[in-house]
Amino acid sequence: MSEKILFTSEAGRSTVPAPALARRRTSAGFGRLVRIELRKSVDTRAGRWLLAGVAIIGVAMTFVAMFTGDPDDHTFPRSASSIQGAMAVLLPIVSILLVTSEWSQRTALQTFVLTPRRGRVIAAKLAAGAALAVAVAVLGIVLSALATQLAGTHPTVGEWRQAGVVLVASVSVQLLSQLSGMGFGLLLLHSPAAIVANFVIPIAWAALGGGIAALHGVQPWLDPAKATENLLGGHMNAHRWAQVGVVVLVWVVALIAAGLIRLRRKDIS
Amino acid sequence: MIVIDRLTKRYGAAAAVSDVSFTCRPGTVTGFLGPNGAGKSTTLRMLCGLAAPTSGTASVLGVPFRDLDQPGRRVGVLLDASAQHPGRTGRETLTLAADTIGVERREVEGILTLVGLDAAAARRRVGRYSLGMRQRLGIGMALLGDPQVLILDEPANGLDPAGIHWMRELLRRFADRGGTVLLSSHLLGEVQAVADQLVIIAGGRIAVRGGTADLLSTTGVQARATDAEALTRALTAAGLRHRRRGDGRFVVDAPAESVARAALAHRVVLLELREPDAAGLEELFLSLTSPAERVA
Repeated sequence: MSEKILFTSEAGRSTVPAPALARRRTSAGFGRLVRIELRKSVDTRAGRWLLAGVAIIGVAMTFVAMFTGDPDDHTFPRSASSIQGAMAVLLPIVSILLVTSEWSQRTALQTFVLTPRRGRVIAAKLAAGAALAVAVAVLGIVLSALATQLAGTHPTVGEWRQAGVVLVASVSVQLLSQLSGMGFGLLLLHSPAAIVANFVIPIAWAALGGGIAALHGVQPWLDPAKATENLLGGHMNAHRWAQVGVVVLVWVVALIAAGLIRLRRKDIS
Repeated sequence: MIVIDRLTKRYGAAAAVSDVSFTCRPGTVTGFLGPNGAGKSTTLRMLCGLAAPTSGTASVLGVPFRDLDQPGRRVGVLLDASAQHPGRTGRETLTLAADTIGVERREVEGILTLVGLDAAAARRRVGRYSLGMRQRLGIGMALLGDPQVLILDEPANGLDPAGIHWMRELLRRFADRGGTVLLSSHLLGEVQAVADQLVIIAGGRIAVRGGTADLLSTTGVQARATDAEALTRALTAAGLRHRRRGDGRFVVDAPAESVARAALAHRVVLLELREPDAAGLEELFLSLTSPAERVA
């Protein structure tokens, strides 16, 4: 901290600010921003514990799938269903915090000073969240396969044929829950509020839809829990995929779009 | 180069910043002064593209901040030293910034040394840093991209006297090699020694702006009399520009002798008559900012 240190450590740096042309470079590449966001989700204890928690839940559910219930239920799709479903509950918190901690810890000041294009930062966060969701889905598939193999029942060939469907369904479920959670995070920009909303609003909506007869027709088109159940149930058809599409439109696309519009105008402080 | 042109920010009917204009040139340090709540931080956030001005414009290196390509390599910014993630270590905080800016990770080690955070401090999580350490970390982040412009909001907060001296030396050196520095403070003493130019705002408006040396020499003589009303009449009759401060003292833009002769002509008893001195700017600063603060 003495003047000598200032000089020595600056020796390797340019002593005069270089002219603008010499330092012309394109903006930080999108891939680099995504890697930075992935790093942010694991470089704090909270982030590491949450991700460890997701893995621990997955492993715990693997044992549950292997050792409980009717042996006839120890099939690959059923194991995948319970394992993915359980992990999809906790995972969104990781990515909600990836968005909201910028506000609760006020690091948004620095983040948006270094990358003033806000949409770019948010897109990188969404991509990082999606990458985590895919990684968790794949982990869940591996655990489901292990559970099926180790449970002692011998899976039929027909059952393994469903592997592709299960894989697509698993990835879809993790992406839906992850990105929907990030939508709440982006809209509310407040960690506790976003986490609570992410859990309570879908449940409240499902209860409402279940209780009011007039809503029975539209409920399957708007209920993320029902979409998740159908996806993991393994019996998808064009109709059900269309329902999933509408659910994604409302619970992912609309939430994120509303959050982005709000963020464009918002003053960061 | 920083150009702030008639920046205004209103929240509903209340104006946080009104019609603020000033320019910071390469090679100079500008001290942006005002009491807490005067609008300094709001002005700096508008300058950095984080808050939208109601009217007016601001540019850095010729363009609005948000249009800068690689802003981290052009402009070093520290807006709030406590706005750091408490769960990250000091080194991790700098590493994330280095990756974003696109500088080599090894620059992080040089910066840690430069700002006086040792290996143990670098490993520690920021949540356990003192405010002074956070300021050093924040100044390090601002310097990481080897920028041409520095924008620092209250960087001396929490620094001990040695730390403030260190920061002054660093900013002086940065400006001397052609950089532009804009730093804010609510304490004149922190910036008086290093600033070439002072911009003082109160209640969101510029109260005084000018070269530090000029401001020091034009603060005027101070006078106090047994009868303040009589002194007002005497000064007015003599055509001397003056204003009366909250503490009853007068500040007169004239030589001491002119004030004394005006007082003599009106048979006013002077209790005090002082030439401007080094403490003058401090008093000017207080007189400009304190009453406004009380009224608001």
